[in-house]
Amino acid sequence: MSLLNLKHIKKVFTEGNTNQIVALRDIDLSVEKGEFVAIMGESGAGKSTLLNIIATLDQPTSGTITLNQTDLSHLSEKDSSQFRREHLGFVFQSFNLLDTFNNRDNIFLPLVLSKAKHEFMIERIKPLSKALGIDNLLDRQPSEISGGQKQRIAIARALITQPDLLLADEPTGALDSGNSEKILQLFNHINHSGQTILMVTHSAEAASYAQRTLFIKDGIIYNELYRGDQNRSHYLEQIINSLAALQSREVTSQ
Amino acid sequence: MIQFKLAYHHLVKNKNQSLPFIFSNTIWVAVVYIFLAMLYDTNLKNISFGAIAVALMQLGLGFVILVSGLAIIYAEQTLSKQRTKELGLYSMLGLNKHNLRQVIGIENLLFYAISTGLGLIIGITFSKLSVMSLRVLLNFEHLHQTLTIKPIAIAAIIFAIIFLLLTLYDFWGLRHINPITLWHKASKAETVPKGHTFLAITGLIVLIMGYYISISSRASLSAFLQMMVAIMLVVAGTYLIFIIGSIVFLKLLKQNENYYYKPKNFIAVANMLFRMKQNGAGLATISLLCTATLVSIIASVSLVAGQNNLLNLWSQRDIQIVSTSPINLVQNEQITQFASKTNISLQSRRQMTVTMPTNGELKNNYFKANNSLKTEVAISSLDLQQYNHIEGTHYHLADDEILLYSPDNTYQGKEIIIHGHKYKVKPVTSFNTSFVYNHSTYKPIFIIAKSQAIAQKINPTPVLYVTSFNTVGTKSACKQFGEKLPNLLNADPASITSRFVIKDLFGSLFGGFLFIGVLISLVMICATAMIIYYKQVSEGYSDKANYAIMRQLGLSQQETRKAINSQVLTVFLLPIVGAVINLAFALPVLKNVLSVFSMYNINILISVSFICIALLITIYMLIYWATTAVYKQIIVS
Ligand SMILES: Nc1ncnc2c1ncn2[C@@H]1O[C@H](COP(=O)(O)OP(=O)(O)OP(=O)(O)O)[C@@H](O)[C@H]1O
Ligand SMILES: [Mg+2]
Repeated sequence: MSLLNLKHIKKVFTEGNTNQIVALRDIDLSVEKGEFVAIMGESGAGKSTLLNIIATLDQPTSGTITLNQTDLSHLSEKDSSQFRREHLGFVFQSFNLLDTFNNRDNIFLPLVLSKAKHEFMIERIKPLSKALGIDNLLDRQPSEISGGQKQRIAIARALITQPDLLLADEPTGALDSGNSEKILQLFNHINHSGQTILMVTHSAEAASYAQRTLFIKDGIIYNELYRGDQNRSHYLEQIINSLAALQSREVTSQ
Repeated sequence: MIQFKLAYHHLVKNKNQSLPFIFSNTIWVAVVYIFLAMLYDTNLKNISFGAIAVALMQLGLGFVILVSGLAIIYAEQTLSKQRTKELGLYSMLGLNKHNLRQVIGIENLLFYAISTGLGLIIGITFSKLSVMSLRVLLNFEHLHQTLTIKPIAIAAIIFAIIFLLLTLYDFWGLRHINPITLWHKASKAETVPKGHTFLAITGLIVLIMGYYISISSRASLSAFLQMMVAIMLVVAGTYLIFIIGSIVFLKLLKQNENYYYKPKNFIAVANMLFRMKQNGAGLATISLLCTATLVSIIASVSLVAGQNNLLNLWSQRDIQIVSTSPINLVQNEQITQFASKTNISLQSRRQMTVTMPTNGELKNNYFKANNSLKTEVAISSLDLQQYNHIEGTHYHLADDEILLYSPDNTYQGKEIIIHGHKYKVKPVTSFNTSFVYNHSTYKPIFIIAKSQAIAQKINPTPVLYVTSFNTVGTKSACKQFGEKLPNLLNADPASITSRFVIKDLFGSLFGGFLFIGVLISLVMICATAMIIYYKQVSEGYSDKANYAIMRQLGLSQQETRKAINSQVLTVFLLPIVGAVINLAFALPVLKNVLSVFSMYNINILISVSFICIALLITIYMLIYWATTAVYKQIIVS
């Protein structure tokens, strides 16, 4: 049984009374435990929408979605909040750290919301801050650290609850290539220690770190690439080729 | 001009912050204008005791200008955080320092023009409407109001100065600009002020000095300057204490890990610490406004409630004639004839002779005659036979025993020493024909001795003849009788007291004070409500993004509400507590003022204070409840 299952997911945004935008038409997707999956597609293809539905921040118009056998399509506001806290971790493109807390308290936030004990928080942060190399950042404010450092704090915040699934929406979008590489190696590392990751990205380079890459177009999963045993540069080449094919299709169809 | 466009653009784009800021400025302009209009556009000076009313209004004006200046400067800090970020962007795009100053100047000018314009319109409308309706409600026809340019101009100038200072302060903030630091400043948490222990101690000292000056200065017009200084010190002290105090308080909460790391406290404490100075300043402003509301309403209601006290002190009979020679037969005849002419009948006539009061002070049961600033009482004496006759009592006294009547039983001693003789005191609570000689402000004390000889020994002064009676007839007839009597007998008006005449006089006299008091407290409570509203709205918009992120991380709506409640409730009571403490030190001043009018009655003052505090707390909670709903609305929407 896979960790995450999406069946016939459709999402329609209604603007005004008449104008309907079909963001997702028919998405079928399953993710196994321990997988690292990348999602690619053009701007406006519906990647964020898909991620938001998985994150229970939004509900599908139709279709079913289960995580760990829990049906997510019809959770109440209260239940979905609790579900997010307990089962999901988020990393955002714009980090979304809170200026009101120092970095340590930013990382503690999900545990505080789950009413964890302070001793427990301290226990959890120790190995995490060592692995992410953020020990000396913890007592500073988010406004006092660099973008790459912020993203590492955000990742620590996402991982401190030991979530079933880590969701990342363009986690390297605001970073230079050096910092991006560090973050992706980090993802690779935590994935190797068992963490399931679903990552939306625009960069083929970033996607090449994943074990599988999905291409979304016209509201469906248009293509899927498995890395298998290839090395990363081979896989990267494959991804770039697929993207090119995707774009040329568009040119011919126009 | 590009600078104008940028300033305008910024004002409009950040309307979530700039509108509440304009809103609060408008309130301050309106409040200041209302005070000015009362001073310059009314006949306040000319009504009785107008000079005191004018002095009090001037104190009030000084107070609101001070508080509004501080409040505006603090409110602008939130706004300028956002602005700083944009200025950083502009300077990256190539605007130089001079251009940035122009942008700031233009934006502040816009704020000034809009706030002052709106504030004046609201102020004029409010003062017109309230003077009109209060005149009807309180049945007080003596106050008139016109509309002149003077208060408008003065208000405009006062706020021009405040905004000028504000602009200079903003320029100061630009002094070492560097685009990057400007950009980062916006997301920086406020830091604990440097030397905060020193500041806290300074605040405490300043506050105590203010309290001390206000308590120790005697209430009189000459103490005006002292009172103004006291007010300034208390305002400064309150701000310092609230800012530093709330920071220390929040830091302590944060250090308590078991408290801090709970969902609702975690968010609330962090939010408040993030804008700790602004938070403290806002609380101080609210506290000072509450204080002003309390003081003005308690003072005016006490005056009105105390007026019966004064009336009874002056005379418990309808007519009381005090003279140095007895009323002769001719005068007696004139009185009777005039009574029948005005269609009233005279009843229960009483006559007594007492010794003329000697002024002095009472200390440790020891009476010392003097006429100085310390003089408090006026002692006169009579013999037991007269007292028993008037009161219908059957007291017996030994040579060294006396009965003592002091209004409101202010004399508590078991004995009294006068001219070296010690007398045992039996207090009596009733003396129907007590009076205040020449309506002086000293408290009368009547000593009833066994015989006339002892009465003379106690107070060796010439005797006064006191004739009193009640009048029965229509109210207007009784009043007319009282008004004409001094003329008829060719006597000094102060020697003849008519309750009907005095009651009318007091009505118009203290009605004026009540009027002003109610008006000021109305203005103050409205300002309090508006400032609390402003605080919640501006904080709501600055917290909105944070709550949105936390919702993504799994904060449910219910938990959001809990966090908001905790944030509001943690500090909600502090302003009221501060206001009550301030009030405790304002009450002695009030007592002095009331004493000048011989209207000080501890019971009245305390009960009025309690009622007003309870009322204020109720209104305050309603305001908080309503504005918290607005805050939640902003966060959740
Ligand atoms: N709340 C909304 N209301 C209406 N339409 C929306 C809403 N959110 C997204 N859309 C539309 O749905 C489509 C998919 O948007 P989505 O944000 O998922 O794109 P994306 O793939 O994440 O793009 P990008 O790479 O630019 O982030 C777009 O056409 C967008 O305009
Ligand atoms: Mg997106």
